[in-house]
Amino acid sequence: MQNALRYKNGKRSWGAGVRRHKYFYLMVLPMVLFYLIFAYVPMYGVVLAFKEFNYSLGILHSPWNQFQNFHEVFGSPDFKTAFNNTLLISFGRLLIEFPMPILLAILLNEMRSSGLKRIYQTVFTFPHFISWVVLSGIITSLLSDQGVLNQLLEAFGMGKNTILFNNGSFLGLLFASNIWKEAGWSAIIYLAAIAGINPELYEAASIDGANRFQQIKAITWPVLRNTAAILLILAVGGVMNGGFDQIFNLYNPAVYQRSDIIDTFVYRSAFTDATGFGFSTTVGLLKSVINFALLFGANFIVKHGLKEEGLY
Amino acid sequence: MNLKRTAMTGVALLLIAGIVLGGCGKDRDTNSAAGSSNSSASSSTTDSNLELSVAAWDIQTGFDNPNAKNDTIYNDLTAKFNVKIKPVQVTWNDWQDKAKVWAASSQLPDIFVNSLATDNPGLYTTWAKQGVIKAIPDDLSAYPNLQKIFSLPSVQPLKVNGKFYMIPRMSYDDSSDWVLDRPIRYRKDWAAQAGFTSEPESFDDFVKMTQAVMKQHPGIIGLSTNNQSYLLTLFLGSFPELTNIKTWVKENDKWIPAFASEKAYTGIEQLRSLYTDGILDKDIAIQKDADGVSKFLAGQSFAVFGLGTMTDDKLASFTKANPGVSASNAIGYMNIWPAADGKRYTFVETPYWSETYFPSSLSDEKFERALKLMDYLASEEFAGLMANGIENVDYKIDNGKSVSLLKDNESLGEKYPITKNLAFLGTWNNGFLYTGKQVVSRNSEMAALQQDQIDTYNKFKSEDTPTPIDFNVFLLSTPAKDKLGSLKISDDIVKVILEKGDPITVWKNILKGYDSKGVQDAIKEVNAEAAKQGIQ
Repeated sequence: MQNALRYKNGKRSWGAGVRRHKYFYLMVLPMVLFYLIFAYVPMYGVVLAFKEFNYSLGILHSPWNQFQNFHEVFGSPDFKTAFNNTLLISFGRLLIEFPMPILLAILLNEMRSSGLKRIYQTVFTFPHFISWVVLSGIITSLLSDQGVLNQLLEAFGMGKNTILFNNGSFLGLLFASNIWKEAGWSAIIYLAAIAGINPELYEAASIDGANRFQQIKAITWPVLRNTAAILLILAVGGVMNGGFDQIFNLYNPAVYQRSDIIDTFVYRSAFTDATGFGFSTTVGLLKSVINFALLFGANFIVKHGLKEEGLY
Repeated sequence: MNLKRTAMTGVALLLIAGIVLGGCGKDRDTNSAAGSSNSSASSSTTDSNLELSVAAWDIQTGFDNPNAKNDTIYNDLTAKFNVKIKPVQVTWNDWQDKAKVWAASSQLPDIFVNSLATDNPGLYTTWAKQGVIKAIPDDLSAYPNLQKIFSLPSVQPLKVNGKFYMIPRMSYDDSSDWVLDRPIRYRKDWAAQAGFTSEPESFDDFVKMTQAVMKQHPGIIGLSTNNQSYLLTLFLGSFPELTNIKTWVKENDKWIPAFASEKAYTGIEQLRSLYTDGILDKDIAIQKDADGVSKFLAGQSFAVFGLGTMTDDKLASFTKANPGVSASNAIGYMNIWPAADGKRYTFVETPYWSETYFPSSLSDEKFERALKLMDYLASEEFAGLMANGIENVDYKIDNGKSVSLLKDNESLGEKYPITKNLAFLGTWNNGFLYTGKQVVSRNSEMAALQQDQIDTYNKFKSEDTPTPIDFNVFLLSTPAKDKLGSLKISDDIVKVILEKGDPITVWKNILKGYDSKGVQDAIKEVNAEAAKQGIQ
């Protein structure tokens, strides 16, 4: 009888499930509340994209403005530049930066000395903990006109570098510095996946005469593939985030044309330029919608095109 | 059944969201739409102790100082007006942003600093009309110092629908007093060594002098700048109006922004040539505020756009980097060379560049007390206190000169830490030094530098010409003109300097881009409004 109450159509009732796993639910509660308060509740502010913000009336009572913010955004040449730059930088990151942690994890895994492996892993992971504010200061000191690199170049009778002032080389600097800072940290998740591989597989492959490259191809990569697919979906979902911290701290007037991304544009239009928050909210909303669509698109391709496990 | 449960769960989550949302919000007083005040100055009393929250630059730092409770000037001030100041910290990096966030969430402090009226007139008008900020009463007879400020012609364009909604923070009494605020400092000792004992008479003279000095001091920078906007100082010698980026000029019977004038070309070309000739600091694009001044003090650059006033800290930096060199003998002010009309021009700005605001939600009682406080902070008496300290305690008058009584290890900033940061709420007091009432430094080197500043100020004031700026147009607010604040003109000038093609072609392309950002609309609106207001 009791079972009849707890089960319906062969499924355990929701309440019974909660009671049974109450401690798990209790543990997850803080995170649910966190997202509720800091991610979902503030979402009501999105309506500002469709309103003319009035400071005395507040977000909810400000008048609707017939998509005027969208007209302004699409008519703004700065938005077009920022949009194009964001796509360029983000896809560049996907192409250049995304494979690096995988490569690094495989290389670290192939090291024979476990002590050396640990040292390298620590060295590669450490830069993640340096903030972009500090790191941009270091990079500027290294690469500025009177910086260390130029002093060295001059000492060897060579011309000065202008990496920070050249649009092309600045993009390269963005990618290179982000790889240096984050590749080690991002490699951890792949190393964790590799750690789950049964060593006997490598031993068996070795006995069968497989060289190290063949072992990577036949054993390591198939394990990493699914992890990489999920991280790729997440990376594609965040493609419109070009890396605000890094760019905001590193860019300068000489490279604005190629480095002003949507996030830096939103920051400027919200606080420096505009009279309200409607314009910047509209840009932020557009960015989120595109990210959302890309996330779903990437998940679909991974599940149905690549036949891997998706996010959901 | 499952559907019902899911629906109930959804409703419960919505309720939680609603509660949280409600908790995050704050009641808004929609009745205060006009933001006007009915307070009457004559009925004022200071019987009850009131707490006023004040957002001013670095205010918290003063209150956190271990010596804060011994700040006699602050203690006397709060006793005099029976107020308690609650500091609300803002820094030079966030003071404008924070006010916008506070305004959006109805959390504005009782008194806060901003520069809306001068830098973002569109938002100033919006806030005034939307009832975010409180109107200053028409009858200011109880506040004589404020009344004096509000009677200045240069302040009149700040009225919105006939009322003021802020108190301008005066730097000087007059727009023409900014003569040393875009100074060119140079190493006159190095120039003399290179055979240049008089100031340059032209841009070419300046280039020759700088190159000669750079030859004698290999590795130094010819010209550094306090920040990128100070690069515009160079326009004083060709098109002085553009030194102030917000200026509009009348050409062919039409008002246009100074940056859109063809007269800007000379200065643009000169800046580019300074860069290509290796005179201008190569790091201008990535430099932070005051980097150029630091380089100058460290003996790494010959000249600098900036460094108006020498302070004890700056003198110490110079002495450390240049041992055995007398700063007062080595550093000089360079008078700008004459423009095409033969006149030497000085920088001009509104006599204020930031303001003090009050939220419309402020009670009349608090507002009245705040105005009294502001009136005192704008008084001559307080100007003396903030610059010199307390008479016969920190200084004395000897033969008509203010002489310091501070001990060697004492400074006004350390003695009165709260006053140090709170004092600027009323005025910047920039002109006090030139009144001759400021305490003469006991450091002979510093005293000589101070005297040099006063002498140079008087010389430039009498010999040079203030840049002609029409402040009626300068401060005019129209929808398209208000949006021009988003143009990054200084950044674009840096871009022209760094790019390789013909500088005028690059600049013209940038101007074309500005047109698509509303410059032509702004010109139309400004000319229409100027005609309407009868501005010639």
